[in-house]
Formats: sequence, structure tokens, C-alpha cells
Amino acid sequence: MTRRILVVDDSPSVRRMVAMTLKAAGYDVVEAGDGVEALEKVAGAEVHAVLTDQNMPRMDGLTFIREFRADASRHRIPIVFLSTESEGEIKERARAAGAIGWMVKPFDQAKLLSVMSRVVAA
Amino acid sequence: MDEETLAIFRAEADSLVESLEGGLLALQTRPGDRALIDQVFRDLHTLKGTGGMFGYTELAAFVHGFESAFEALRSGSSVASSELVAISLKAHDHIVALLDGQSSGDPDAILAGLAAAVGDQTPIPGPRPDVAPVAADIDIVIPPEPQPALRVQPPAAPVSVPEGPASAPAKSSSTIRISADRLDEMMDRVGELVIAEARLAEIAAKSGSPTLMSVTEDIQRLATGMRDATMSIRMTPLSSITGRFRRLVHDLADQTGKPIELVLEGEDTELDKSVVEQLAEPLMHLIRNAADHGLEDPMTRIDLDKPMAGTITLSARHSGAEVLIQLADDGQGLDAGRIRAKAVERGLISAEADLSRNELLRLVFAPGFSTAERVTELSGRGVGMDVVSRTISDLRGSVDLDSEPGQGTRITLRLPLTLAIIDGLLVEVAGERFTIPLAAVEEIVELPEILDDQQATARLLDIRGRLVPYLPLREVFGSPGRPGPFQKIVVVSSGGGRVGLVVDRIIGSNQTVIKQLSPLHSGLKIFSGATILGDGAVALILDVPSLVTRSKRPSPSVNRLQEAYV
Amino acid sequence: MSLVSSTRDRTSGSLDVVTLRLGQDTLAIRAGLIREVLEPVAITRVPGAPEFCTGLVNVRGTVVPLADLRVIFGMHRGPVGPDTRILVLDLSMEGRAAVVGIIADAVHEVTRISQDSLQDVPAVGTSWPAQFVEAIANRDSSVVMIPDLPAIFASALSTQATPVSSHSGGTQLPPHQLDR
Repeated sequence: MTRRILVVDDSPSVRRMVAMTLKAAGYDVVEAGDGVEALEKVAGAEVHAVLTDQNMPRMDGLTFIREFRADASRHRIPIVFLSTESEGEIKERARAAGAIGWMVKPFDQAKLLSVMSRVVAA
Repeated sequence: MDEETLAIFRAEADSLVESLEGGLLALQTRPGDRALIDQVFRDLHTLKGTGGMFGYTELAAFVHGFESAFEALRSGSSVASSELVAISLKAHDHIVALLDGQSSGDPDAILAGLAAAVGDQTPIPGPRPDVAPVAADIDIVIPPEPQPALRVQPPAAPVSVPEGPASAPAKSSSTIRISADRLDEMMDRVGELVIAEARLAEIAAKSGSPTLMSVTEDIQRLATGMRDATMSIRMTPLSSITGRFRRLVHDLADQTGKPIELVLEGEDTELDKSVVEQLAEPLMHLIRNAADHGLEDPMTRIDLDKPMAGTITLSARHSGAEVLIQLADDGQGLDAGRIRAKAVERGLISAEADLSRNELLRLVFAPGFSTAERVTELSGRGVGMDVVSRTISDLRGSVDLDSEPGQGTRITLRLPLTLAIIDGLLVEVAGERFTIPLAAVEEIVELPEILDDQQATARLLDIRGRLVPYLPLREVFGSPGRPGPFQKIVVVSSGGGRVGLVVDRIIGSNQTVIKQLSPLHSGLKIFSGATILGDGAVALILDVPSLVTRSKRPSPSVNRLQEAYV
Repeated sequence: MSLVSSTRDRTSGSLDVVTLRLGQDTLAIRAGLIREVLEPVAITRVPGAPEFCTGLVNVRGTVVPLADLRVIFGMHRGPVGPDTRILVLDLSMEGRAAVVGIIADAVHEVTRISQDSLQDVPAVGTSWPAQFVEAIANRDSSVVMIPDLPAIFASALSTQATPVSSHSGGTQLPPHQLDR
């Protein structure tokens, strides 16, 4: 079964890079430019994992995670927080909001795939 | 990274830079506008993240410093001073230059100016073009509860890179603690893998497909590597239990009033963790015996011209696929006469039994030789020695003992390196298959026809001038029928003794996952366990030490001994 | 036997069992003890093992001893036939959980025996050793015997602990402590 990943980032180039990498590895990818768009996208489609940035217009990553997790049926969908910060605070906030972990930007394709393979079956 | 994606990045970066410039210019007129400050911060943040992803590391490092200034501004309550906006615009120009692959201005000075302009006492991290601005890092904790949407890696352990600056990129060869259960589970899995691999090999051989056979060879190599790696993870040095021996000897010296020196040799010798754990108790027993009863009291030792302090030496070393552990003392040694008297008294041997000195000494391991009461009038060994012997044999090891009156006693434990998987030699006897531990195999020779005589009285084989006793396994196993020609002799050795095992056919070597026999069969000493073969059938594993012992019989004295015992 | 009465007290009126044929007799084994029923698989002979348990089988990667209750009850031991089955049981040996296979000439059905129909084995009239029979029951005018598996396996363990002389060239070794 193909796993569908939701990629939430306001940078089209990052979304594209992530999407291309994941698709090449056999994942299905849904893209969203911010939290609001992401919530719209997941309302209609089942996703198996989420990658989300923090700083985005309209709705940031932390808020999106909380909104996403508010739906009990999504409690078990893994969320990986993408951050440029290596500092602990934002990570902890992301985790408190419901992310299972974080990945620091920049990351390369190999690292992305290794993380994805850990959080979701291909 | 393809051209198109790079082009998208560049377009995105240009628009971010433009938005950044617009934001900065607007701040000149509305320096307290939080929304503007947020916008600038967000632009910088996105630029940093994407820049790093697309290889603009110098840019990312610079923007990181730039962003820090606005982070300080955003979290504080101050307004964007005209000084800050001016230097920010310079920083903007520097970003444009970096995007164009040029270098202009002095990034360090710009960043220092930014920091000063927001009144930040802590220096903004300067750009380090040669170093990634932020530690590339990942931290994923897979929740322990089973989750349908997750791949739970067996064993389902949370994978976590410890946080905190001190341990950020834990790349050095550090130590992790793993629960023993997980290691056991891993070993079980490797066992399953080896069995599955044997099945695959069987199928591949039947199919004759070269492709399948080559894949099978790869799998075999990987499974062997996996087995070795797993076993090496389980190897534990003997030193993990010797601490308690030091303490014990110290206490014993106090209790007995005998000065005792404990000498440890080869403490770093490694054995399977479960073997080491189970060794602690018997070794403590042996040390206690040596101190209590083996060593003389100090005055006696001085009279005997021995050093006042007694010495107990515990040494360990590898010997092939076995580990030898010796516990020696320099005490008074065993008194064969008293052992004999005791054995007769206990009804273990008849009064006229004709036993060699070594056979007499070995009686101390017999159940019933010593009872719960302490046999202190004897030279001591006996208290629970049968328990020691049983523990070691449960570990598929053996115990030997030798002692010189007045010189001391030495007890040698031979233990297998591991309990789980061994290399085996698969043989056939009357259509039935058996596995012989390969580590015990010395050589394989053809049975000379002249010796293939069931009535032969002296079963000795001349191998290059050395006489080796041999056992026809057909006879040992009570197998039906007559053997064909070309029987083979597998010469095995254990504890210095050797025996030739006569088999019909050698099938080959294989990895043998040892399965314990149930209590219904564990009393059969000639088998140490069973294993599952590639075709799913069960094969018994021969216990080489017992077969070697068996070949030394029949000796009349030992026969009598058995009768007395049984 | 005490085991029967305690079982009667615990359960309310009936016992779920699997019935099977051994020789000419019908036996019943508590359904709860049965892990699975297998078609005959390759049986490895264990040289020197007591008659009661001369085989080993591979049950999903576990090496399981195969016991033959016919030896205990002196029943006719026919060859493996199309109806022969191996019942894999969860028992306890020496205080530890153990998986054991037993041979059945045929497996009949899962059924329920009413507690009222259970009787102690009569002192006369059967050739079965009374100490290995937990109870017998009358069903459809025939007799079903419930073997006392704990007693049977405890006895087998105690027999093998003190080696008896063996027919096959002395495969039984004396305790190796003396043997070295």
C-alpha cells in the first residue's frame, strides 16, 4: 500500500525538493503551503505521516499540529517537525503539541528518506 | 537536485529578498509595527532554511545571524531603530550578493552591527562558511505503543538521539545500555533467520537456478555476519563478575583468619553473557571451598615452609571454541584416602572398589557424596560440588579436577563460547541425521575396511601412529541394518581426550541453532540438544564430551562404580 | 482422584474436550490444553529415549517431544495411517510450561462432557493403570477415558531421572559426574 505523506512548508522549492525525493522513493505526496491549507487537504484525504515547517503565513506549524491532533482519529499519525532551529525550546513545544520528533533544516535527500523509513512503512 | 528545482529556489529566494527589502523600508516609517517585524523575521527564516537545503551554506550562516537580531527584536519590546534598519539594508545587499555568488562587504562587521543595534549583549554567532550554521540533527521518538501507521522496528525500541548540546551529534563510539531481554530476543531472531536461510539453501540447491543460488549465497553470508555480530554483542568479559569474588575473598579472610591473596588472570576473556551470569554462583562456591578447606591455617603453612598467605588463582583463557576457567589454590590438596572412606560410607562405592586416584577424586562431584551437613573433617571439597558440576554441565561445559597432596587443588571448567548457535557437521547414520559441533572435530578419515567388524574387541584406530578409540554410532544409537561400505570416522576431541565416531556419510557443515531438549530427554547425556534442518526436520546434536568419556569404557572399575551408584 | 473432584468443583457442570482414538479406545483431552492438531510430520527418533517418548517433531520452529500414550496404557501401536494426527499440548513439566506432542490414531471431535457422567476408573474391568486415568465417562453407550496427563508426564520424568538398563547397546549413560 502506498503511503501518503503530507508536506507542509511555505517554501515551494523545499516542498518540491521533498516531494520529488519522496515520490522517487515510492511515497504519495500531498503538499500544502501553510497550516490552513494543510488542514483543508487532510480533511479530504487520508495521510500516513506529516512533515511540517514552523514559520508559515496564516497558520504556523505548532498551531497546525495542535489543530491536526485535535481530531482523535489522527492521534497515531506521525508528525515530524521541520525546523531550522537546533535549540531545544521549539522542539519541545513541537513535541508537546504532538510531533513525534523533529528534523533540522537543511537536510539532504538521504537523511529525509532515512527519517521517513523510520516513521512510516514504505 | 535538478535544474528546475534550483530555478524555483532562485525565484523563491528573489521574492523573499524583495519582500525583505520592502519590509525593512516600511520599518523606517513604522518602527514599532509588530506585523512588519514578524514578516521580516519570517522571510529571513525561510531564506535560511531553503538556502541551506540548496547548498547555499554561507548564505544560510549569514542569514542565521541576521535572523537572530530580529528574533531578539521580536521577543523584546523594543522598536526597530533607524540604525538597525540601515544596517539591515546593508545585510540585505550582502544576501543578494551571496545569491549571485559574489562576496561583498564584511559579513562579521554587519552582524556585529546588527547585534549592537538590537542591544544584544550576547554576540550573534558569526558566519562560519566552512561549517553548517546549525547542527544537522534529527530527533525522532517513535512512540512505544504499537501504531498501525508506523513501522515498529523489531525490537520495538524508541530510537532517540539524546538531546542537549553536550550530546548532540553522538558519533563517537559510545556505550549504550540494552536490556538483556532484547539481546535474547535478538538472538532468537537470528536463530530463526539461520533456520530460514537453511531452508532457502535447500530450495536453491534443488532448483538448480544459478540466480537463486547466488542470492542464497549472499543471504548466507549476511546471516553468518549477523550471527557473529549478534554473538559478539552478547560477549561479556569475565571481569563483569570478578568484583564480587574480590569481596568474597576479603570476607573469607576475615571469617577464617587466614590471609588470602586472590590472583585474577585473563579477566578480559569473554563469554556469552548468559554463561558468565550462570558462572558466578559455582565460582563463588569453589572459592569458598578453597578458602574454607583447601588453604591451611597460617601457622600450619609456616611449618610447611609455605608463604603464610594462601593464594587462590582464578584464570581464564580461550581454547578453540571453548573457554577454560581454572580455579587453583596452593593449599593442602585432596586426600584420596578420606574421599574413598567417605564414598564407601555413603554407599557410593563398594569397599573393595578398585579406583584410580583420579576416579577417586572425581567422586566429590557425585550427588550424595556430600549432604547438606558440612563435611569439614574432609579436606573440604564436597559441599555442593555436585551442584557446581550440574550447573556447568547444564551450560554444556565440563569440570575437571586435579590435586597433589600438599601442593593444592586445581579445578578446570571448560565452557562453550556461546549457547545459542554453533557451526555443526551434519552426518548420516542409518538414514538418520545428526549434528556434531564442528569446533570439536579434528579430522575425518575413512574407516579402514579391516576395522569394520562388529565383533572387534579392541576398537582402536591408528591415525598416523596415534591410537584413537572409535565408537560405531550405529551401535550407540541401536540403529537397524548393516552399514554400507565407505563409512567415515569423525575424530572429535574434548578435554584432551579424543574419539572417532563412525558414521555412514558426511552431509556437510551447517549453522546449527541449538534448541534445548525437553526434560523428557535432557537425561540422555549423549545429546546436548537438537536443531532444525533446512527441510524442517529435527536433528539431534551429539554431546562430544560424553562420547569421549564413553569411549574410555568399559573399564571394570568404572562399571562397578556405576552399579554402586545406580 | 482429587484432580477430578477439584475440576468438578471449579467448572459448572461440563467439560470441553477433544476426543481421539488410540488403539481401540476413545480418549478425551481438555480442549484448553490443545494448542493445535497437526498432520503427521517428519518424526526424529531419539536413540536411547524411553519408549514413551522416542520422537521429536518441529512445530513452527520449536523442537517438541512426541509422546505416545499407547505405551502407557499398553494399547496396540499401529503404524502411521491417513487418520494419524499429532496433538500439540501446553503442559507443565518440572514446574515450567512445556509444549508436548502426543500421537493419536485419529482425532474425532470437540465435544462437551457433562460432569455428572464422570466416574473414577473402576478397580477392575479395564487394563488401564488407574494412576494414569483421571476419570472415565459414559457417552453414547461407550466409554471415554480422560488420561491424567500431569501424572503420566511426572512419571515419565522420574523414570528417565534414574536410568534403567537400555536395550540398544547401553545408550543410557550413568550420570556423567561419575563418568568423567
